Amino acid sequence: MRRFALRKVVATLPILLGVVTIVFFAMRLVPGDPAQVVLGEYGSAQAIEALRKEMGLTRPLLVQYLEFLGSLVRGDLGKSYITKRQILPDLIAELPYTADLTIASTLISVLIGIPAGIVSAVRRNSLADYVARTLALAGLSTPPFYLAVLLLLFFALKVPIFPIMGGGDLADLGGRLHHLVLPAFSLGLITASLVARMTRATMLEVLGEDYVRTARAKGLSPRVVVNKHALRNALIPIVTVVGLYMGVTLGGAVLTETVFNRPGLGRFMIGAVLKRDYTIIQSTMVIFATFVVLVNLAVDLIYGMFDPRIKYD
Amino acid sequence: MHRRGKHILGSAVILLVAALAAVSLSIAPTGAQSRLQHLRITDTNSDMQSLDPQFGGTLSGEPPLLDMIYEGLVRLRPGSTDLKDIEPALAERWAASADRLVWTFFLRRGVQFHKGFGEFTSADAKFSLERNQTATSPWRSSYLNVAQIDAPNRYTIRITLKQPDLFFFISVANYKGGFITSRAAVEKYGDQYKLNPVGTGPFQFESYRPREKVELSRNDKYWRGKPILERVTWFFIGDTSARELAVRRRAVDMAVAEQSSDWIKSVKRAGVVAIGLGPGVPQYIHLNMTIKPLDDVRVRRGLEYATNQEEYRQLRGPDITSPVSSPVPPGYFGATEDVPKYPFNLARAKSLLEEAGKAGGFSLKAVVSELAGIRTVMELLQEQWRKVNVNVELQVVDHASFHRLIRQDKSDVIFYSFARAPLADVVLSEFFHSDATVGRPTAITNFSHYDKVDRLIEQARTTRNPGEQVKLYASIQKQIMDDAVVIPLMNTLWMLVSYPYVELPELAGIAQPSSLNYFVPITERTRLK
Repeated sequence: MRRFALRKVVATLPILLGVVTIVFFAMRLVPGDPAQVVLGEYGSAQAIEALRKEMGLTRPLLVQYLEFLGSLVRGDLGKSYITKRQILPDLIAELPYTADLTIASTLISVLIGIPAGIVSAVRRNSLADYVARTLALAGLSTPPFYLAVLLLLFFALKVPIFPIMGGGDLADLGGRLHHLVLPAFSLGLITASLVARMTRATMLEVLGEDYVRTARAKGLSPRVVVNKHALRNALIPIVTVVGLYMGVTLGGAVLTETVFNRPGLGRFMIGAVLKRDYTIIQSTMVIFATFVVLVNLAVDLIYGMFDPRIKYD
Repeated sequence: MHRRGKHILGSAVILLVAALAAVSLSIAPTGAQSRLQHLRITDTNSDMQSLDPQFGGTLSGEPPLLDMIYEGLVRLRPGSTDLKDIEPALAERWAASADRLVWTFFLRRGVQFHKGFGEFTSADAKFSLERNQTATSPWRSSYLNVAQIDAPNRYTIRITLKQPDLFFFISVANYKGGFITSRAAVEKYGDQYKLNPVGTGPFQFESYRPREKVELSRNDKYWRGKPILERVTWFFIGDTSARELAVRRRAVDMAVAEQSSDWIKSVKRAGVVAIGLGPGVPQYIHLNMTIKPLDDVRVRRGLEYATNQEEYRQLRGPDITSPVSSPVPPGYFGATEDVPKYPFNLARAKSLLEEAGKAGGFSLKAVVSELAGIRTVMELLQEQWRKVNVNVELQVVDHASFHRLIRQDKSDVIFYSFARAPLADVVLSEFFHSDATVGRPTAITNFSHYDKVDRLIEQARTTRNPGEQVKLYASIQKQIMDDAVVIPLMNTLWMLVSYPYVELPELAGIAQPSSLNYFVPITERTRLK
């Protein structure tokens, strides 16, 4: 398993290089640059050109690219073109908020989605099944930002029990959790809909298998049949979907972060894209790509826990 | 089996509800946050870039913060943008030479910079104003007329101009590059100064959380007197819905409003009052006269007649907009309404286009920002001009790309709104002098490539006779409108909302407050009732 993990990690290096390269050149093809953004509408063409030179943006692209790669290899993510702040401390400051949101929304999606899917499959075509399927469909059809605004309206304005904005102080765990509840539910409930539908579909398939019929024929209790024989085998596609959605949540949380005015990597990167802050965009993309690769690796490793037939070496 | 399923689902729900309840009960809601002399404001920007006045202040959220942290040698009386209302600030008094070229400012003694950076002296004033002359300062063009700045002694600064300038005071006031920084702080923080600002104003910078907020605290040693407000928090809430909810929840006490009557009406239900700030944000359509058939004045005049101003005002809200008919908007020094006008008249528009051989219509490209305030105006323009067979192809791009592309001549028709020092010279120089033509090294915002009033602008700028100057400005505006270079759309007040418990004593008795810094003045006298 260790060799498998190592192979996977090594295989990610070309992916990361590809991501960084594409982002580096693609951003420079888009109109606008940091100098234009800093000087805004007031800067003359001469001032913009002088600032571009000062920022090093007039040097050949290849030189800029190689310099960026060199810094990256040394672990130096550089400074923001706009604020001149070191990027690494800012990234580190944003990361916990994104991690909080990703983990909490994933937990919510799993804790609601899997039981709902099981109930729906086990009690196929019952009232519970119809209710669960309708709710899942409603969840999938609802844009996360819309649900976010609704949650804010009810739980931060009408019944003001949750904060309306912000992410809380990093050192204050209670405050962070308090700020996390609504954003996590706005993302988690929607992913839960997908997990519920996936769980229902795979459970229905597995419940019709011969070994499940055999287990029932042996007189095993329904609980053992569902939990031990059916669910365990149904979990592999569910884990895949949850893993994929963790990656999507990381980048897709930007709307949720915006509506809740919450810190996080999504807003960090989108803000940088709008300001053409190249170094921040490149560095954040490295973090995103690394995270997605690691989650996929974790998913691959988890497969073995549910299916002993899967071998890694 | 059914019971088991219910069990699993029930357990999960109970777990979540319990966690939720525990967290909610353990923490007081933010609505209960103390309001005691802690003013909370939100901006429409999602972030800021720089609080270094000589290299920042280009986003609308930054000037209000600069105005709280820093001061100029002089200041515009809070609530006014009339240059007749200049008051002493860091300079106690001043004197001008007979030829009005040398200005001597006598500085206030004993004024302390924030955070122990020492006493404000002439060295700081000289250093700050000279920084505007750096090639990369956005305000460089406003200081090109400054020949020399001297500091003959610790409390005197002498500024020598190349040409007499009747409006020189705006360059040393609390506006743009006129704010005075601490030389020692700039030298200490280097390129980090933009997020470590040090001034002499009523509030000092405490902290900045990217994309979230800036915290200011009271400057206890402020020379005008200890401010009543203890803290000011400036939030960045870019999302319209989130901002509205924050206002309604009273998570903020004041907010920059969406520039739309509907939004303001919606939040007013929470009990806020609306404040409209002049001189406003005038909005124009610039016609690129190098593009065919816009090089034909009959076509341009036809488009003027095809544009119905009233519909733009209805779109934005008649109560927050006013008509504008001249290239220099009302309220600016030198503005005149006595210019050729083109009231909406489709028949006249069609006849002019027919005369130009364009009755069959033509197409124009327009690069448009994705910002709703710009996009919706251009969509309306597209509809209006369709009626005279003119097809406007909208290319919607993000805001940074918009600014880049319109400066690369990629748009035949350009929507542009602005807030500038309320002087005809500023508007005419930046939009209608050939030096400002896009594509040139000295380019600013002459999108039309207009070059027929250069001599008059320069003559008006250097004349020493204010009456003569006003006449020259009037004739320039007439010429521009006669040539149909721009299409005036409307002037929009800069709208804020505030809870009535925020007391702004400086604005008492002012029927129409104005500000060059995109916000009402938050001073040592501002308080929460």
